[in-house]
Amino acid sequence: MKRIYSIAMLITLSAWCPFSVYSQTCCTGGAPITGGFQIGAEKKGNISFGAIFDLNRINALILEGQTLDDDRILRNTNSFIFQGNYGVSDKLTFTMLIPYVWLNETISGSISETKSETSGIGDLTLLSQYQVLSKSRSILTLGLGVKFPTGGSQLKGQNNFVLPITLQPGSGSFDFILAGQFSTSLFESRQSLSFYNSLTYRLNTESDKVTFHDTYQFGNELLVLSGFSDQVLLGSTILEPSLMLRFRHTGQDTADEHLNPNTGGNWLYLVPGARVKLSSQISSGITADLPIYRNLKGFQLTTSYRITFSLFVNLAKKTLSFDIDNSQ
Amino acid sequence: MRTFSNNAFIVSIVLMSVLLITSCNKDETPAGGDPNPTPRVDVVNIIKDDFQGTELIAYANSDLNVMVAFNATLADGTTLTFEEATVLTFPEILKDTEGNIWNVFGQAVSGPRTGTNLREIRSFMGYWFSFAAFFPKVTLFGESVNERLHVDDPSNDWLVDPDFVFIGSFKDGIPALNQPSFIEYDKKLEVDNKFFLENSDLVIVIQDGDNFKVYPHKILDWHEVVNDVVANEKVVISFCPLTGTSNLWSRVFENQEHVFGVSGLLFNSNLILYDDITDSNWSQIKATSVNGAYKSLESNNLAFKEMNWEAAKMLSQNGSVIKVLSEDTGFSRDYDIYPYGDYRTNHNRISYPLKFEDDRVPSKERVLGVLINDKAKAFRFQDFE
Repeated sequence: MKRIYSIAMLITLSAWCPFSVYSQTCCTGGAPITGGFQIGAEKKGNISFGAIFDLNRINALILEGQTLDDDRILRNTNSFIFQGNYGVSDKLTFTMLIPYVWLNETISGSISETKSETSGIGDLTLLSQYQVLSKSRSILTLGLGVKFPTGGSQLKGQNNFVLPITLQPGSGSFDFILAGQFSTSLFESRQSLSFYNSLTYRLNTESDKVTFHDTYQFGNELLVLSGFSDQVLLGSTILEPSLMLRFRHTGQDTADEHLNPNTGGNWLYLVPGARVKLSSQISSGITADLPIYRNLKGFQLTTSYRITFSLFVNLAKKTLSFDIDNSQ
Repeated sequence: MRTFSNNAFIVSIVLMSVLLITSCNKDETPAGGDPNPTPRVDVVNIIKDDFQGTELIAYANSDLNVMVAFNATLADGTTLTFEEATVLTFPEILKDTEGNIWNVFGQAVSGPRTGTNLREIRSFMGYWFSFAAFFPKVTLFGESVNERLHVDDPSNDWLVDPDFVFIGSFKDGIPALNQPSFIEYDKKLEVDNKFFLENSDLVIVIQDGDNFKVYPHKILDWHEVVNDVVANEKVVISFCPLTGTSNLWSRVFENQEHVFGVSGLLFNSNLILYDDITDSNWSQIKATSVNGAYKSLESNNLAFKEMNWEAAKMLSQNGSVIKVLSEDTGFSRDYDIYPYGDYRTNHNRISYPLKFEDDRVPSKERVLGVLINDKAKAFRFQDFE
């Protein structure tokens, strides 16, 4: 129990440590994979799959921590992510994520409005997840993954010039992902009330295929989601409302071996959400990311709000990741 | 298990609270400078030179961050001889053997030719790498003239090599100033520490009749293009933060008034402007439309000077007024913040690929480029020592 306690505490605590790492910002291209996918283990032989539709409205102009009164630039990063899970054993699950990304940017100039857009397959991710703990009221899952540079990172626009990084669907690099999730019910009298923590860390590598740069390295990204969820019965439907905080840290990108001064920072979002179990095998959810704090380096356009819809189908009688009640 | 859950919860809440109360501290740079500078008396350093068959006279003062060049031959055909090591008070910079004294705008302010102007040569300051990129094998003062390499490699659509045109931002992503407002410089503002320019801040200065208009780089870093009216002429002032170069040209041509904006495109890392009527793209350094309906049309360039604010303040003589582009631009920005990190001082950091590179001089050293017959010669501050 001490060992499990230590691992769980490590996940929880590491979420708030002042990491000094590099990371990919939301102003840069690529699907927001690490913000969207579901962590969780399947039973042996079980298959589940789902669709995540992520709408990221990027409209807030930040200058060294201050939000500027300037909404002339609107960037939308919309992603459809297919997630498939397969339970190799009761503890080990393989996950695949395939994103398709639509990116557009509209600038309202004094003379005219300009819109630029692109779309394409993003970077594919393979992830293995191992369930370290599955006790009566607690679950701990750890994951390790690789993101492959399958998305375009040197796409050209209408005028045949290479689009900036902000409108590239891929990052051009092999990146590595560490993930963990811990959830536990808080009260004996109400076991459906859960305390949930997840941590995702992306270690990015250097690429020579990002726009026109000789080398480019997106900074590493740390995402921590922490909060509560509960289950209530509405008629015959199980509704799972949740209220969480998402902390995001990114360091600065490195372009041609020089730090990009307008990348990196810390974000904190309030994430209300709800999940509905449409049947024993199908669940659907929605979450919103609402910024409540951000401290960004330099001059950046960043997320005003973000909405994520998901629909998951489990081809098994029950899973551990989405149904805490059933696991008890 | 209950103990674990409760502890984890409490620790998380405490740490989350610490994170939430972390605030962003902004460095505030005090405005100001010496409000009452003593008149600057210098032994002027000049260079007499011949480039492309033109006799020119160049002046530099590194303390004031100013370098200028003029044609030494007047419009009447007289070639002046300038005295070296003369003691003058800025903005007076040149004295000739006829006894005329000339100011930084090339105007005779005393002597038999008072009111006469030296002829302008297209010349401007900027980072060394930009001259090397646009004018390969650019001649350095003190070196023999090099043969000019083939430069442009145009395509059907572009007058310049489109392989070296890149999207820096999208059109109007950097907003031009179309209705600039100005504040009249008053020494009292500096006494009260309410003026936003430091003595070392670089500015563009344009003569506006008997007065002067000043456009600080720190504002132009964020806007790059200003559509303005100076001395009853509709003009566009442009500044490229990446090449450190400026230009000034008329907005009236082809019998139409134009408004210019920032296209977001860069050629050789240098600003490309667009005009509102044909959406043609204009290279700032080439001063030519390089793409669109106006392709190959050259701009009508006008005279401007660059110097630091300490020097610009000294222009306020004989009742002339200095109007400084106001920080009240209509855009929410903090002009005390430079948006490009260490770009100005990091010689190894060039943001976009260049068609030609040349390491004879550190890339970000500010030099004066003199352009004659589409050939360039560069002068360094150290050449005047």
